[in-house]
Amino acid sequence: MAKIYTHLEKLEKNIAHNDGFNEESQQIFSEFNGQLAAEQLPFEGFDKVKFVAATKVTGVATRPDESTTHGIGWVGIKDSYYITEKKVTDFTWLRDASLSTRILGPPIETFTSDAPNWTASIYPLSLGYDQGTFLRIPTKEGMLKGCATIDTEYYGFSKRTAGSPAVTGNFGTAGRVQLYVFVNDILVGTTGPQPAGKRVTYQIPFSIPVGASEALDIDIRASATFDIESNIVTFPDAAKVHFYSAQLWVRNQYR
Amino acid sequence: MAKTNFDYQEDRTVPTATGIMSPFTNLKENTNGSTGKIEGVNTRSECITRDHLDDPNALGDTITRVYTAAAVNITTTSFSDVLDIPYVKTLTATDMLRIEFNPFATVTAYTGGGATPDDKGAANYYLQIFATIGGSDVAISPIFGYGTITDGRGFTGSRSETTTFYTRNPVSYIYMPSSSTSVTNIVLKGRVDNGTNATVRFENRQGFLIQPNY
Repeated sequence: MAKIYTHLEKLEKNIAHNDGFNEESQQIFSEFNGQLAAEQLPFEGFDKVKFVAATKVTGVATRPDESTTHGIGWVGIKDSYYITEKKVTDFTWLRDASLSTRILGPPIETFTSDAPNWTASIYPLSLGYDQGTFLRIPTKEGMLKGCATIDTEYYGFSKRTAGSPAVTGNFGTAGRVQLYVFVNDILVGTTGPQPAGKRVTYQIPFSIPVGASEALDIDIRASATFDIESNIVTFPDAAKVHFYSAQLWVRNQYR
Repeated sequence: MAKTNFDYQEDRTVPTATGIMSPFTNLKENTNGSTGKIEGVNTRSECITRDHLDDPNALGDTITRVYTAAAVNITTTSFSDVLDIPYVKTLTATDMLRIEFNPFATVTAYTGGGATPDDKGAANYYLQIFATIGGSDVAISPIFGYGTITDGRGFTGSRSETTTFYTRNPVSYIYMPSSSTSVTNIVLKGRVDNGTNATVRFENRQGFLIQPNY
């Protein structure tokens, strides 16, 4: 305990002695120079302005190779937040020539079974997104919580009009799409396999304890399967998964 | 740095007033708030506890909640209000606001005559978060899309048929203005692709704002 009391007797005739002065002063100054403790600090005396101000961080890597750095962060005394986002902003996309209504688009990424352009595995969306799906951040020991949000569209294919059995359902019975969030290549959140789900914006919350690190990677990945057979009527769209706006934010709570 | 020192008084010398006063003058000048302050180097590790915070129970975060049970219909191709959270504040360049909305979409409907709605071209609705800055609503979040239909291939009913479904549409965002910004409202807005015949209804609309103070 760092409370200081005068502990020498009063000197006769009020004469200062060197030893008395040194002994008192040495303790006071040694406490002051680095040993002030909770007892010296006022309870309920610290509000926001007494703490070191939060700082903003820019240039946070949004691709694994750090070729893009569009993420931003907010570093406070008890936690930090980072966010990256990819915005699709224009309602000018005509999906195909047969339509007249222009909708939000075009998508950032499309996975199609007609002309496969993805590898058949879990696919990091940061390969197609320059931001919005990947963050590389410094962390302190504590918890990492966050949420991945991504706008997807997947009508799938419609009917198998021949074969046995003929499928008359109008949902993507033979196709699945799944979204994942990985932290340092550890799966921490997923949608689970989703059937053809029309236009859906998925939010994937996640939470994982983390240690102190200079570079922790968080990224959104996706996989899709298409079991295309003959006699498939593709309505209203071919077997495609579109990905539009994406957003990824995390909070590292260390106090 | 507020470390200070004192002059050791040598034995067998007569203490002088100046010699005795100088360390206390140093101490005064290092703590008077102008030429010196108590700094981090003066304090022990882990010396500050929760009891030192001015609001030790709540940690002082500013939390704003809005809940509205009543329904609102979104029917146009321009963004209109789904839920408005009044929040009058000047957010400095070092402030951060965590935003979450959670409206409950209950009914989509296509009305009017004509053929089956164009399900792949105009079947969606969208949500986006805005901040009211200087009286104008400024989009801050990305636009996120949702289907008005429940099956996989599209809306299969005819016009005037109502498709009912129940889904929460959670939307979250971390707002970090790059410069000092005075806001009066944080608003979730929605729009539809088909501004003539489509309706999306939201009920039990919930919104949360959290601004950390520590």
